[in-house]
Amino acid sequence: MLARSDRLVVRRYEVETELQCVLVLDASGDLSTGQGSPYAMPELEGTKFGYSLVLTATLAYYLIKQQEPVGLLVLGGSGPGAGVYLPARGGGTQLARIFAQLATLRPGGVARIGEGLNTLGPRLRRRGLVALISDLMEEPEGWMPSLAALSRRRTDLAVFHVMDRRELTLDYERPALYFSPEGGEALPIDPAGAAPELRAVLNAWLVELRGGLAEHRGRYYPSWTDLPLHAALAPMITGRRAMPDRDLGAV
Amino acid sequence: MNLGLIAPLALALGALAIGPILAHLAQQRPSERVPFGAMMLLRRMVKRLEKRRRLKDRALLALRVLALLLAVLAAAQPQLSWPGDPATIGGLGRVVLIVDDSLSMSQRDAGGTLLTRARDQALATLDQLPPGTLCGLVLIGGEARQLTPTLTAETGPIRDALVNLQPSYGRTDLEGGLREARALLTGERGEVLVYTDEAGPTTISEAQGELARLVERGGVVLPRPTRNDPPANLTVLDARYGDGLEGGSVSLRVANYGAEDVEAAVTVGLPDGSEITAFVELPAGGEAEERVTVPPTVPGGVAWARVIDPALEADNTRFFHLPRVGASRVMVVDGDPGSTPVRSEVYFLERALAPWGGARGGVLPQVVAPSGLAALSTEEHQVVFLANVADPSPWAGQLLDFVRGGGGVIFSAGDNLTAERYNEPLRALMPAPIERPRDLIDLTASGGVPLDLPDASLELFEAFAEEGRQAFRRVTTRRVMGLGAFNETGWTETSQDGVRVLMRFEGGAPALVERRIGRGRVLLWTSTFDLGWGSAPLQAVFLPFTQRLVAYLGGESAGGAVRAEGVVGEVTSLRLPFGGLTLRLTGPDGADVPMETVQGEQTELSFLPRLPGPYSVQVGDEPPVALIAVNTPAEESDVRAPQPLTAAAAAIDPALTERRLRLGPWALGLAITFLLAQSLLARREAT
Repeated sequence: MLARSDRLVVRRYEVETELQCVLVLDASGDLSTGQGSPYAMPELEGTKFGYSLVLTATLAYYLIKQQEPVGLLVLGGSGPGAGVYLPARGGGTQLARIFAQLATLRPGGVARIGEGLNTLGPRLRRRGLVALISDLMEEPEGWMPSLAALSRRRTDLAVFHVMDRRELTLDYERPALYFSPEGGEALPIDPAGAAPELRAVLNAWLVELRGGLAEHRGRYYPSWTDLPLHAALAPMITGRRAMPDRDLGAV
Repeated sequence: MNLGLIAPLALALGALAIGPILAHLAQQRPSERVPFGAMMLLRRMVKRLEKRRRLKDRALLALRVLALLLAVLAAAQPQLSWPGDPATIGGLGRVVLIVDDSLSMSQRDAGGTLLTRARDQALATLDQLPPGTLCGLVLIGGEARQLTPTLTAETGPIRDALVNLQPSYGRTDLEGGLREARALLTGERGEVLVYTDEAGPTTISEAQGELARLVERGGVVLPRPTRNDPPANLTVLDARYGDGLEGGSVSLRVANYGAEDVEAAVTVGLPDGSEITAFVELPAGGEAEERVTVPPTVPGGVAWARVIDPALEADNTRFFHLPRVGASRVMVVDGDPGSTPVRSEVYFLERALAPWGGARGGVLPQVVAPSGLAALSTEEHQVVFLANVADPSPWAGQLLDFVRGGGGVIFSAGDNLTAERYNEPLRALMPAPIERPRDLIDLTASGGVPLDLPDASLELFEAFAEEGRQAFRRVTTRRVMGLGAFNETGWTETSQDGVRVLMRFEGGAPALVERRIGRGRVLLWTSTFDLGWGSAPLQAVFLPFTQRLVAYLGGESAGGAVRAEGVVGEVTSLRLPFGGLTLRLTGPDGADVPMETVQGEQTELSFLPRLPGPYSVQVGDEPPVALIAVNTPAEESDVRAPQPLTAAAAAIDPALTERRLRLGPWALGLAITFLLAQSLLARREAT
């Protein structure tokens, strides 16, 4: 160009790197509980799953709009979308496909987060983003190693921890038999007496989670169902620090 | 200390304790079911709480059950009681002090005797009495006695009596003391303080009835025991001379009422002033026996055995009768020294009386010729055998005095005896008039007429009652001394003494005739004591029969004096075989002792000994006609207290001396505390 025109030319190229994203949605039975979600959805009103669906759909929409290929892996669940895996692709068609799956999905069964993450590893061909949307109600030693394996593959990890404030503060009136929709033994609990003890357990658990995720370079986004959605998404989009202490303090 | 329940039936409510237990076991579960999405956290919480909750549950259960049981216990009204005194003495306005001045109170302790200790305590009590309290004093050593005729507010005389109190040798008359106290109280309520060492195995048990009567009439018995702890005392329980005809030794039984084994020295004092000491091993709380050999010749009288024991000296000595010991007690007058032993009465009598030659006891007779009768004395001799003596008439007077003084004479027949030299000169002595020898069978023939079986009811033959009586049938004779007419009142008009035939030969011929004269006896054996007329010396029964004769005629007496035994503080009675004489009773301290006598043909004498030791009854300056060995009461020596008076009084009416504490309010308070504690614990219970 300089020889031909004898003038200096500066060419600027803008190359957009394509980030393969997989949204891992926990649709286990435990997500069917909760009363804090503000999103009006038939059958799922107030539940953690309702919140999770909206969060997942919003993430998918955002990432597609960012020209990123987006995939979906459903853990547990019931209905046609249960256990579905959609490889990451871009475009409106993929978004429509994801929405369709989410629309038919209902909570049920057991998530088995560790196993799900393990199946994801071979499907990811290069560096990408794995976003886990879950209440994480499985013992960390069952899924934290799988997360660690993904981390070793230099996969960017983001965990949206869906939490219902009423559940975690045991804001119930009468003693009752509390049971998990996923099955297992029911426990007689007096909420008034057990709340302080549960708070101590909860704090210890959150510390355990944050510590584990930090160790494996994962990002933790507490997602309280009674808070607006952007409260969970904004930290991820803006890259702010993802774990404001006030969230823990509010528990 | 006792724990009792006023309403024991309330304990049945204890069955309610099963309620909390069942409630804990049931663990009510809520019926409402709530789906919950954070069960993992709940499970973590439950796991964390599990250990703590288990502990809490058990503590809760224990607290609740305890609270319930304590509430039930409170309903049963438990009560703790123990023996105690009223808060103040004299609160009833009348007080009787019973002070034990018996022998055992002379026990020594560090500060003096138990009596001084009891006296000081009584004086201190007297000082503490509220003004105006009516007071009385009773002593119970020997026989209980009031020192104040009535209760009085004037304590001066009582104080003086206590200060001048001296120990006695008597037994503890607690029963009498309580009776006197009851009399002083005259049916009113009052406190009876008893200062005693409670010694004696039956002191308390004997007083039970009187104790009950006193308590029944409102008396509050407050024992004030004064004892040595541990108790210690040695005493001679029994001292006895010999166990055979003459014995030769003194048997001693010594007791140790202390708590430790000891070796003690025991000394036997004989009437002649000589002493023999032996050592005896005494087990704790037990007895031991010891024998002390006495010399061959000892005068009779009251001897003593003493154990050295400083703990209680008053009972260390025991007095006992000692017969006159020695060979000179039996005199054998040989009236016909035989050419061979078998023809000598003395030969057989010597061997019958002293089978071992006197070396091992027995009676070694003093053999004399008829002229030896001049030395006859009741002081030295007790029995005289006149064996075929031809003419004892020169000593008839001496023989008569000897018998009247308590001696015994035995005439044995033989060829030397003649009616002329016996019947008239010895008319006052002979049991029956003799005539001349009479052949029962031919003298040249073998065998003879046997004796009839003797009457075992007679004192002389009592020893043969069980066995040996048949052996008399082997004694035979061919010839006997013929006797003249006599009857039970004697054969002389002047005689008032009893005459009786003690034994006969088969066919009725008298074999042994007795006559009692004064305090002695005369026996006439109508055959010989050698083999001249019969076979008596060869028969097995000869030896025991001869020795029995000696004992019967006075071998067990001492100089002919009547012997008796007594106990300090108890009336001692004895009977003297004569009457109409002026008697004098002398005590161990040499002073005359008051006595009561009932005179007749015999004399009944009684007195109350106050001191232990030998007492003697005399007629003028004559030798004693009676000797009495008086000892301290044996039960006082047992200084152990098997049954405390406190327990006896409490057994009759515990309420009088009992202190009580009601535990109901305490149990209720504790139950409420437990209930509160369980409430607090339950509030902290999370699930």
